[in-house]
Amino acid sequence: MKHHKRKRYKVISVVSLIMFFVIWQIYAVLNAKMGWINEAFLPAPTEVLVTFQKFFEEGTLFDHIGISMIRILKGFFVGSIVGVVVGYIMAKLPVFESILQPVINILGAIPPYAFMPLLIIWFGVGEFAKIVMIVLATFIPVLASTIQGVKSIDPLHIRSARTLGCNELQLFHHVIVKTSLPYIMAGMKTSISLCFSALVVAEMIGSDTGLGFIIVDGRNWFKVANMFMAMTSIAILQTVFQTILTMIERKLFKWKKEGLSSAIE
Amino acid sequence: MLEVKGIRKSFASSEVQVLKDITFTIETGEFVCLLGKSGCGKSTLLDLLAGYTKPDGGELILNGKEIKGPGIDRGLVFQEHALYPWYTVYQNISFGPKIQKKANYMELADEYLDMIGMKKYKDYYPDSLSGGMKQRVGIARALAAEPDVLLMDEPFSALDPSTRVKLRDDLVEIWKKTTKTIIFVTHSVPEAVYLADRVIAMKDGTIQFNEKINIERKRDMNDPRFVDYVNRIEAFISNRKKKEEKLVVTND
Ligand SMILES: Nc1ncnc2c1ncn2[C@@H]1O[C@H](COP(=O)(O)OP(=O)(O)OP(=O)(O)O)[C@@H](O)[C@H]1O
Ligand SMILES: [Mg+2]
Repeated sequence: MKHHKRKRYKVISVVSLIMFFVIWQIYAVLNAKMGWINEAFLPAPTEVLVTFQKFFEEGTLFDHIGISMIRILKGFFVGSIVGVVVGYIMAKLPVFESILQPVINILGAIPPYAFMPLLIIWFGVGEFAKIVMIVLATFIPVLASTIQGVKSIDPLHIRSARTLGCNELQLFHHVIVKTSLPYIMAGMKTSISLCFSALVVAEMIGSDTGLGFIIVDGRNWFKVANMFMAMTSIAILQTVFQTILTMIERKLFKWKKEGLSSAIE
Repeated sequence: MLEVKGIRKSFASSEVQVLKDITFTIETGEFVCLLGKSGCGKSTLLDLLAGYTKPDGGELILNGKEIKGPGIDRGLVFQEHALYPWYTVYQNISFGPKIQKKANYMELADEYLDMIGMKKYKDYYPDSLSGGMKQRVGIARALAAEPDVLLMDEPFSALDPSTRVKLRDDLVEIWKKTTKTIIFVTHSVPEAVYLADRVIAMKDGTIQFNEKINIERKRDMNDPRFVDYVNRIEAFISNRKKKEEKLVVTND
């Protein structure tokens, strides 16, 4: 019964997505006939597909996507690790927390994208500044969720682990990691979208490669279809990223789902 | 044998000395219930026995060795089950022996899983179990680590009355099978009289009552001897000399 319902909602969602493109296509076709607005402002989905094909044939499509992906992966990876390590230390040692928290609060109040011009001045227009930009965007959510995760550890879990014979390492593995991982994963999912924003900003300001570059380049040369192609790529990539993380989450936290579903029944 | 000698304990944050002079001895294999009003220091004493905290003075000696910290010779069962929600029933029960690298950890887990009658729920996660089942698993998890003493801090007080009654009988059965020493903290005088070989009651930081319950099991709560024990112990705890003080609250 419940399963049935869930399936139906999924169908509705898929239909909605298809309708979005259909309506967009119909609008573009009608606009071409009626001439409501300049056709070049809003190209049809089919034209975006043609643009994909053009880039593909030129052989630059996967270059741009690949470069952006590598930047995201590097920044996301480094940012997550730094966030987890610093977060863990802050949660475990109150001294560090009282030293670092105010500074992080101040820095966290500034949108990370505001740092981009500064980063270019400091590190030049090379890869490093871009990666740092993405690290900055990833870091804060992962840090915050790690702290929350480590602090949510049940003291009774630690006590029983000690009584059952855990040493420090086993305690870390079986209790601390297990408790905080769901929080960390949630933080990573939040930071994925920030990562993509950071990527676009970084590539728009100082770059001649990547999806963000295609968007700025499209504006400079009035190639609106290119912009749409780049934006579509970003949407797809981010969806893929989120899906992978969600799949990992499902696999890792099976115990959560089961508990939850039986709680609802 | 567990020897508790002149234990004192107070907390920095409160003025009163919670435990003033606690002295008693528990024989190996004995089932002892620890009674006392809320806030009299039962959990404080159990934490000391578990080794989570240190006494200000006095000695705690288990089988000739001083208790210096948490150890596998003492198993704990808490009021809130404290199972690991990320592990299945089976993984929870096998946790202790597996961590201790016992070769027979699977047999141990199976044995206690069977003893609590939950073979069917082997692969369930704790969050999908009822309160009574969780508490059973908590007991099995503690026992599978093969401690000498089982320390239980109000393990049944969060359960509904019928589950509670059932679990009492089950615990007595488990105790008979395993012949473990059990120290069981409770608020309920009838529960203590029902379960224990011996009842120890605390008050004002000292032991006020320490007596064997000479009634054969399975005990009947309407047995006149049973009623007599309950009345006498309640009188000790509530201190009837002070008229304005209310009689002790029981959970049943
Ligand atoms: N960590 C602590 N710091 C300060 N005071 C404490 C601490 N732990 C316990 N106390 C105090 O010690 C006294 C005894 O507490 P304890 O939890 O041992 O009582 P209890 O007999 O277990 O009560 P209950 O039946 O309600 O569980 C209480 O007054 C409590 O406030
Ligand atoms: Mg208590």
